Amino acid sequence: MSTVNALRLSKDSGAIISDEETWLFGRRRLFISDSIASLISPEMAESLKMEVVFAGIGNISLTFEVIRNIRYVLENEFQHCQGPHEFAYRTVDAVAALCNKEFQKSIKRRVNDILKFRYGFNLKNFTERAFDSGSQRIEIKQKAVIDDCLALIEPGQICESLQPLYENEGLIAGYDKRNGFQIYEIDAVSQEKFLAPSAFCNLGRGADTGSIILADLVNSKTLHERRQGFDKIEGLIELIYSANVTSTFNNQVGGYNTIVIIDGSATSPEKTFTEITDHEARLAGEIVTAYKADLLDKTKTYELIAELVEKKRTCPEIERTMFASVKSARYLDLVLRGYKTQSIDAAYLQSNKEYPAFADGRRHGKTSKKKRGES
Amino acid sequence: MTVINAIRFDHHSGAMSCDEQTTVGEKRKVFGSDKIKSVIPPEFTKKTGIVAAYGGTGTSAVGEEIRFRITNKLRDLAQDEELFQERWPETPHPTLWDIAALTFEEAIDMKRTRIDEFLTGKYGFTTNDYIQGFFMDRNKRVDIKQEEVLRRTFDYISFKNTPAAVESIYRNKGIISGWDQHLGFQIYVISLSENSLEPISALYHSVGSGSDTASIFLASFSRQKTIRERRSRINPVEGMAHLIAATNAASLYNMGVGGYFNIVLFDGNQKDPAKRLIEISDHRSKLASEIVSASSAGLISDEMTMSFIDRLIFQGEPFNDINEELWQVCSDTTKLDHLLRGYKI
Repeated sequence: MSTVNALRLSKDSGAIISDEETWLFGRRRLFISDSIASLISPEMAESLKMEVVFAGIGNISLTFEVIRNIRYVLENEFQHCQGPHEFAYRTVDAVAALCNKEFQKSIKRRVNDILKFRYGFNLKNFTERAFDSGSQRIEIKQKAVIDDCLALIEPGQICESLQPLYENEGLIAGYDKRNGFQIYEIDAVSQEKFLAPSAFCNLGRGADTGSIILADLVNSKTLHERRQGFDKIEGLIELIYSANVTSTFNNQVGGYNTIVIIDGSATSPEKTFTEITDHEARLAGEIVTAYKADLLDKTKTYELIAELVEKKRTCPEIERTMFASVKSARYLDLVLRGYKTQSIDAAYLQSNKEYPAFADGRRHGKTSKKKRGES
Repeated sequence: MTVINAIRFDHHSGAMSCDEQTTVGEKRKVFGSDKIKSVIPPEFTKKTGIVAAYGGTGTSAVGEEIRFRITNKLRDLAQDEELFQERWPETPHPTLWDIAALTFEEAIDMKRTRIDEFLTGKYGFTTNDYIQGFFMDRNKRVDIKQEEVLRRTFDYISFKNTPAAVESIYRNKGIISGWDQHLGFQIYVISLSENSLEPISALYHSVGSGSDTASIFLASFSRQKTIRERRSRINPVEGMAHLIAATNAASLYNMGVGGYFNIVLFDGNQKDPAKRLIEISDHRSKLASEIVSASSAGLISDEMTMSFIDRLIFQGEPFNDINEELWQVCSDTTKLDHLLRGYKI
């Protein structure tokens, strides 16, 4: 199912995070989702001074189809217009409306496929209560057939074959010159587009827990800060923390995260869109875990996250600094391995003895770097 | 959402393992379950020598109630000689089969009580009333004639057409494993949805949402063994490593399986009854799981894997020592550390 959390960091910037877990047959856990995708090409982004991403949860095939179709429409339109001023999708709002339209089309296609397969007619035929079969006009009168069609169209009714699709939701986040950074939400049940009224938005299985973390952050900000923005790194840390928490407390949320940062105020196009994936995203999650467990101090946490986001140093270098900045590398290592450290012998956790896990000289805890006799 | 695995090593020993994750309201993940528990009170073990544990999957409350009922029943039997003789007049020493049968009886009684509570709440009558076709309301006889009520009640009682309202009662399975001096180590499976109690003749059994994955790993281990080996010659350390590998796999591939493992060891060869059932549910079980993961990734040798599993699980060596030593024998500490922290190595 996955979860998506998005946060507006300032009037021109924001970030989105998503995990990669999905499931099959109601039980199989897979880490295969690729939930956040940029919708516009670098040429469009540069020409329009704009960036938009789509993040989907639920059936991954539907999300993939919607993203592919939106990209095709945008690219096609862009190729055929005379300049940015003629391009119909030059705001995030317009792209969000297109996303909703494509979302509706993809759901409708599936409904039509089922209707065709079962009864030989489509949704329009059902609405007009008749269809043509060869030269014959067939009226749709059978009550059981009508009830089944309604069940396919109305998500509130039970239709097993389409139920997973009706769990789909999408989030459109982006920056445009006119409106700054905005977040929109669409869902398969209402099939309407909503502008997120708050500074954050949560979708999917982890929305209930992720929203607590982001609500906590937003609640601590004044109205001015919420409108104009707050510390970018602070926001990112809390966003990553919200993903950590959902992964801890929610089913169907897990694996590596993908983090996308959109900064409309950036001076160059390549700095407008930053994507942090794979080991970097995993390490970002670990840094935040270490910080929230009071093992890594605030200054060092902010410094490491900033370095990671700005790609100033490599992952192994940042990882080395993380372990070197805590009192006990052994303690942090066990936390990151998922141990319930509260019931492990405190003397062992805090031991100054060289940790053999790092015996290759890769990393050393702060204490082990101290000179002999140093207090 | 669970995995409960059991394996037999030889005539006198075997083991069980499970995870600790539970799902509340479909979405909340909690590492708070206690899925395998001993069901034999010490006084009963003292009297009969039997040790056994029950691992349940399905509705946590149902599994807990079955364990609660069986433990109390056995305590009563141990304390009341007359009751004990009445229950087992011809068998002075009951076997684990008797305990499994008693567990199933308790499960049946629990199912009937719960269904009766459900029916009484809904229609005002019980299963027996339904069977006889009427119930008494004060002193007035009320015939049960409404066809839809009759049809639905039949479904609730028999679980035909799997009515969702009573799924939490029926969708429960459990493994009871243990040892007695006559039959040795045995595994039984109880299923409420299939209304069955079955002895397990195979080397292993697995139940729960993770059983589809775990059983592949255990089947793969089993197929490498000859029938003579499967009957009574499984190296306990090797068997334990595969039991943990199966639980690891369920945790990796199945929704609703995760957290620390609880490993229960049965050894009927132990003279001291208190040592016949040992639980390893602390950091050692987590470390054992990590050791098997490291071995599967080719980062520690099979020889060292077996040595660590033996020392941690069977010899009871402390967590700290093995956690330090693990790094000294692995081929790549960076890779191993990343693996254990959930990186894609």
